[in-house]
Amino acid sequence: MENAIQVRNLTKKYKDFTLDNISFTLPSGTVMGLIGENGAGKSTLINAILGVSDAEYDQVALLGHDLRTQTKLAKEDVAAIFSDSHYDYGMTPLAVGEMLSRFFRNWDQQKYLGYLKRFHLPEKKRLKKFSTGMRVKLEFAAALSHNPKLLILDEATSGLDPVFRDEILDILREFTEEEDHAVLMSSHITSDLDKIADYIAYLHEGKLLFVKTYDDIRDNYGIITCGRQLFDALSRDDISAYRKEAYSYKILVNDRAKLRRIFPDIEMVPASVEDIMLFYVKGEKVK
Amino acid sequence: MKGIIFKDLYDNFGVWKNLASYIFCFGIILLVSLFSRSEYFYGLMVFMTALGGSAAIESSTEQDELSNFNRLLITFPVTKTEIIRAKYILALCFLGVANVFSFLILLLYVYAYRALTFTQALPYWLIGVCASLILTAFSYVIYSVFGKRRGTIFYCIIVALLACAYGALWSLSRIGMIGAAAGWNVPVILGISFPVSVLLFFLSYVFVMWLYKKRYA
Repeated sequence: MENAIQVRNLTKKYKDFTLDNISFTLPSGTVMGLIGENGAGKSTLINAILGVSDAEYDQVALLGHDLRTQTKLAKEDVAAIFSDSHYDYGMTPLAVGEMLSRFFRNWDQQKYLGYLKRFHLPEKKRLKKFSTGMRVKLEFAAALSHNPKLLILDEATSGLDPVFRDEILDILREFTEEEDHAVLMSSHITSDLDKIADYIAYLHEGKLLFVKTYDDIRDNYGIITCGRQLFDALSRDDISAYRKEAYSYKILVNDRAKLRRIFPDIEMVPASVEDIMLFYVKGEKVK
Repeated sequence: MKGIIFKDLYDNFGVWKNLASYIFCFGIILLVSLFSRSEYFYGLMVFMTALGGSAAIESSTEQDELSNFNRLLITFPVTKTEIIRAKYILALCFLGVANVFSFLILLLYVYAYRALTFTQALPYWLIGVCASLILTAFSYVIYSVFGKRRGTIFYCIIVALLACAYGALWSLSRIGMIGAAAGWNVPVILGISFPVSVLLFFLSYVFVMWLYKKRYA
């Protein structure tokens, strides 16, 4: 099964920011959560992958098609949803469908109308009268109606209430039931990624710090709260980051099972994706 | 490209306020044409029609800016070159319709009102075609560089200047200071104007293409 996304040595330079030498693959049939603090480069990376902005790279391939030489073919089976870019507000859902049918070879008007019905979206109402949630639903309806194999979401669920975000996650789960479908989603709402992501890619200040499976994070990463003595006793390789607090240390460890064997009585809690982010940003590395 | 043309057409005619402004604009031209039968008003109506033909970019720029649609558009299976090409193809369609409309006004003034002969009326129409190409070239550059709000201000300033220029040129031609009355070779002038206007239109296309690619680089 080919990879949905293949990126090798991608760099994008701005005056005061550089996305530096990013390489990763997104296997088909999986969901990758792209996390990072504000300004880490998530949107920059997504823009570069989609060809919205030009970047230097050795390879960017979407569903096996090279972005440089097969641009249109690469984008035919890709759907993108952004938090800050929408269809013209003067249009109606029907007009959006008519427009998109002229862009995508695989556009399925019946499927689109079905999604409009399922999401309770009025076909002839102008988008400027839609709520934020309704607009996002329309974008999902439009995105899914040309039978894409790759969905790329850039903060698509930010600003939505938990109930609606849950509906979106159900849609994504349904989408990834097909083995050749994949999703790349950037999100600050790490609790959503906890529910759906197979991989987590962490961007920090333009650098890709890691790409790990969610199982790896869930099974191996943990947080220990301890004193100086235990902190000194731990091997430096086991500590991903730490934070010194008033009377203790909070340590992010990357191999809970190993530490449990060495320190059976140690108090250790599993680390969430959010915990890992906070430790990498606000914590310190062991020297 | 068909998707972009459909969207821009929808922005111009599917949004009520934009459709209303077209109806108003061409309605005024028709109304003035029905009640004013002099050569002066004939020339004025021909040039006003040229203005109407250059308006396609304004509505689509406004709608695209409000929704930031361009970022989403580039993710579709369409290249940046095709996006700009589609907009200029639509511009030519608008110009075609506008100049056909102005030719109908020519026929009205020549054969219905007998305000002037066909030979006298044709140079106005040809200048109108050149003016519509040049105005479209400039308006596309202005809206691409400045966006909807400032672009509209610049466009209005240009239109006001052109209106003043028309009045001044009319007066000067009546007293024999310019044009055929002053011994100018009008066919030669027209012969030069047409390729110049086509060249300006093409340069506008090249510049806007370069700007769009730079903006999304």
